[in-house]
Amino acid sequence: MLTSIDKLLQSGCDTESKHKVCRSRGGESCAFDGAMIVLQPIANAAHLVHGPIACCGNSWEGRGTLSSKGSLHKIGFTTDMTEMDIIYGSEEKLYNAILQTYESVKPKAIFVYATCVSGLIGEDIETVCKKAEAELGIRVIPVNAPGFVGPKNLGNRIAGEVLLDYVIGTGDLPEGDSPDSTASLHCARKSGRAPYSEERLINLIGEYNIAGDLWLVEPVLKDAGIRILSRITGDAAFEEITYAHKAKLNVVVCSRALINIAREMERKYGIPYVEVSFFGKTEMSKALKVISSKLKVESSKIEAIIAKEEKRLQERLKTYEHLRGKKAVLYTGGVKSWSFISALLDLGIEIVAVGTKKSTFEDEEKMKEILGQDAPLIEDVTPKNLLRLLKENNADILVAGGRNQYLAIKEGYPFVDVNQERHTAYAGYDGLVNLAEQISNGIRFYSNQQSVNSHTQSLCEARSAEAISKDKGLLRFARNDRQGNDVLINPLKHSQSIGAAIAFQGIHKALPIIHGAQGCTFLGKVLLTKHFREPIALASTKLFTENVVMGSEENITEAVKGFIEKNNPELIGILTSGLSEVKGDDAASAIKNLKFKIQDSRCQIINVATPDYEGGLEIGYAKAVEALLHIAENSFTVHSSQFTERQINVIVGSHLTPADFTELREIIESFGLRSIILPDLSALDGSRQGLSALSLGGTKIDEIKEMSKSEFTIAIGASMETSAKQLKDRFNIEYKALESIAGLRDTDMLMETLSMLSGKPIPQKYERQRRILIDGMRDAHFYYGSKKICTALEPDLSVQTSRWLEEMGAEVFEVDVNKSALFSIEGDFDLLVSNSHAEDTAKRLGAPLYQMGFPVYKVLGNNHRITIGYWGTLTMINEAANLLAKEVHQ
Amino acid sequence: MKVAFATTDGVNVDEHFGRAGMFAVYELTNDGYKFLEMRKFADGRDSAIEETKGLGQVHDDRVRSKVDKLADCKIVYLTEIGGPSAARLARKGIMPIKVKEVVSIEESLRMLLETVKKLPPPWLKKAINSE
Repeated sequence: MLTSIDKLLQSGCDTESKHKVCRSRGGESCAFDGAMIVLQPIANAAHLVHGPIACCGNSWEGRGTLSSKGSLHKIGFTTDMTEMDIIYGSEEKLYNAILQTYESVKPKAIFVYATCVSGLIGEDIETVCKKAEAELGIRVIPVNAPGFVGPKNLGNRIAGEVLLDYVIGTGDLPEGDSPDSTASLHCARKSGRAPYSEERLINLIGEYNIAGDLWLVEPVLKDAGIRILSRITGDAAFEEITYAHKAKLNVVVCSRALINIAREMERKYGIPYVEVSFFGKTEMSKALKVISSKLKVESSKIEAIIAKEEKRLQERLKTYEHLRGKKAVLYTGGVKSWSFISALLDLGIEIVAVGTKKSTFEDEEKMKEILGQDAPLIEDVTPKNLLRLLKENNADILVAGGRNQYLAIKEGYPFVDVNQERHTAYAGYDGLVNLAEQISNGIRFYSNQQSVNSHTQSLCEARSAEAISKDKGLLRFARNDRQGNDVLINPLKHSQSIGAAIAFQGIHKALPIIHGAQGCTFLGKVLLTKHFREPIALASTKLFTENVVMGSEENITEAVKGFIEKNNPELIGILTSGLSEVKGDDAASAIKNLKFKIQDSRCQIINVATPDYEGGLEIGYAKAVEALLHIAENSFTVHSSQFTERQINVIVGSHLTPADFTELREIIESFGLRSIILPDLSALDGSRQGLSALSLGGTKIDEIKEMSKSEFTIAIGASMETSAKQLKDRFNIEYKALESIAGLRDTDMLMETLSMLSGKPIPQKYERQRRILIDGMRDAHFYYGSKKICTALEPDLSVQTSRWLEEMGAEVFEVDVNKSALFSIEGDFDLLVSNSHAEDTAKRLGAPLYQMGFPVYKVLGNNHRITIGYWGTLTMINEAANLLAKEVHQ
Repeated sequence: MKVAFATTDGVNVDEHFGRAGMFAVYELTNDGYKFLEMRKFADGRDSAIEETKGLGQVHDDRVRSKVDKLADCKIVYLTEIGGPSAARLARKGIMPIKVKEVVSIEESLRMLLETVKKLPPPWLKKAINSE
């Protein structure tokens, strides 16, 4: 084992390695995401995304990096480019946005990121940055990595080049600590603190402090007399990177994508580098030896520290002896796979399969050196095959990225999340204990379905306390100025394509495909998975540079053909992105041509124009519904003009939860009516069965075709009225639009409508619920009187929520989602009703947050929450009242 | 606007960026294109990058040098390109165009010109008009 590890750490590669470059192995996301992953952890710099809403909206607060140097890494800044910006150019807007960003949060520096759309129209962000830099007197740094230039790890490299060109080597060590100053040296000695020149200074490169990994490593390094000068970039301040060139050694942490920084610093500044991993006992001890030998630390000292730490670790791992012999299937982002292999082996876990889709050839060589030449490396990492691997090998656990979590949950396998979205630190000796604990918890839960024991709970509490103490170091920002209009900070808006993708999750055996760079799909999928806690059907045509220059209709053809052959969907929706729209792709005619080529297939293919530089989630969702209704139109035959008795169409907006769909269907059926609900998102409540890349359990295509024969249409949400009118114009079906189906009055309206349609009285069950609601409203109204409540929600949800809040006597202030941002919300509110991103805003306002809308991922149960009808209304009234009551007691 | 093609024979786009010993450089305008020069990096295969892979900064120096010598071009056609080279090109605002199979330079230029005349992406229109 040690011999194998020795080989891993050679900077060259002895084995004959074929040159193997494949885009899919650069990561599933795009270059923009890759660049942002590297730079965003610099938490006292602002990260301004120059593009339409999707690039920022899909990913801010989406990465697990933690920081004690600031909080700007958790704030989303975007220019939110619109169609007018694209036509007339937006360099002036960008300039103003940079100035306004500075005025808002006074960052030490501002990174400005190009995206597909700003890249495609040829925005000169370099010139704008120079001009803004002259005006502000701080660094304003362009990051030219639009998504279409390549995969994620290309973006990683580009970010590395940005740091080399603009940041590293531009600053000096803090005053009083310069190694060249004799006077300073003298002063430093007097203060009893060793000057920098006498310390062993290293930089960490490629460590992002995911879930606090770095904080489990740094104390051990300190013990050894090793001090981290610059962190690139987890837990970094901008200033420390400017003087990274003063370090004695660069330590690259399992991140080949950033090896270019280390190499360039060796050439330019003569700083040697080593490559290490901090995951697992073996790797951590090896890292300490390698680093200290380069820094000329006495080996006896290092050996003593390692012995002490390993002894302590051994003691703590006794609790997890039962993990020995357990079998794991491993599939992580490429550069981390081999290091997690080592960590799992330290725990005595057998690795029965390793997914290598994202791995480079060099990574595979490393894996073979650890596991042996017959290492079980697997190329096919589709959910179906991962499941097969788990079963065939009798595996006990799946170790993978968070997006595979729901695969494991569905099939009852323990799961450990090791990718960038995770919440548990795994680095260093303590990190290995955390990893053991997570694995042990998962296995125990599934074997006996019991809750964790008190011992584990106390460990969790101790760790939480530690996390809280870290939080105390976070900077707090007080706002003095009102934000201008050229930058959105912490945007409320989401892109049209997200909305359309949500609608398609409600169609049975459907697959939405985003026609754009692969990051649009990847980041959108991560966000939707987080919100719904379910596997999400979403694919990409993966546009790259050559598609941007030449044609990309072929991408649509190839993608659609491939998915039809592989997954046999009944419906494919092509969702355009800002990139494909600005480029001028004619997706509609590409689809028309495509239909001729696949005449035999029963798959329906529709096009939905969802550029993210206009509108938002609600509009995108509505456009998808309108496109779906064309299926009904195309299937209409003149001969069968007879209506189907007691059948109604119910067209539902994006503001209902999955559980609401089930509740709605039950309400309708209790009147003896049969409803075709379009779309039907009820299966996202966790009841979906089986594995598929397609959405399952929603409205069937045959049902959509039947909609032309319904007697009536109910549109739920104002955004759905267009679709209802579409059915009326085409099939002469009368409709009623209900802006809200929550609250007493609006639920009464729903019930009366159904009663009128069915000719039946309101069922006793709901009459009783109504009486309960009235009683509950009386109980709760004391907490609502004179209260000011702010809603920051998509329009349909905002209308529905404001209605029942006002019924309770509260004064409601609605924020316009499409024009506003969380950072700009001001007011003396008693309650904020918004999505999970609003947590910090609520703290700033001093009001509790009631989480609703999209995305909701910081509380559990959103998918199972009924927010409509009498029962849903009462639940919400009580939940909000409890928050208000807590406020009163404080 | 200048366009470069990784080529072994001066006729086809048939070489990997790193290995290409020769790049044919053309001037592209709204009206047409014309040959400018053959930019030579090596006789036959350019082993400077390939053979230094794994040699750290020596390899990086070679990549940088090659990219710098093509920095006046806006588009570079090639059959394949490594990560470090792609990162360098992108940082300089140069678009690397990967062709799926060997194609003639003439055909590539004809298609590119057709795109320019018909429906050029905005950045391309800007690039070609700014010179």
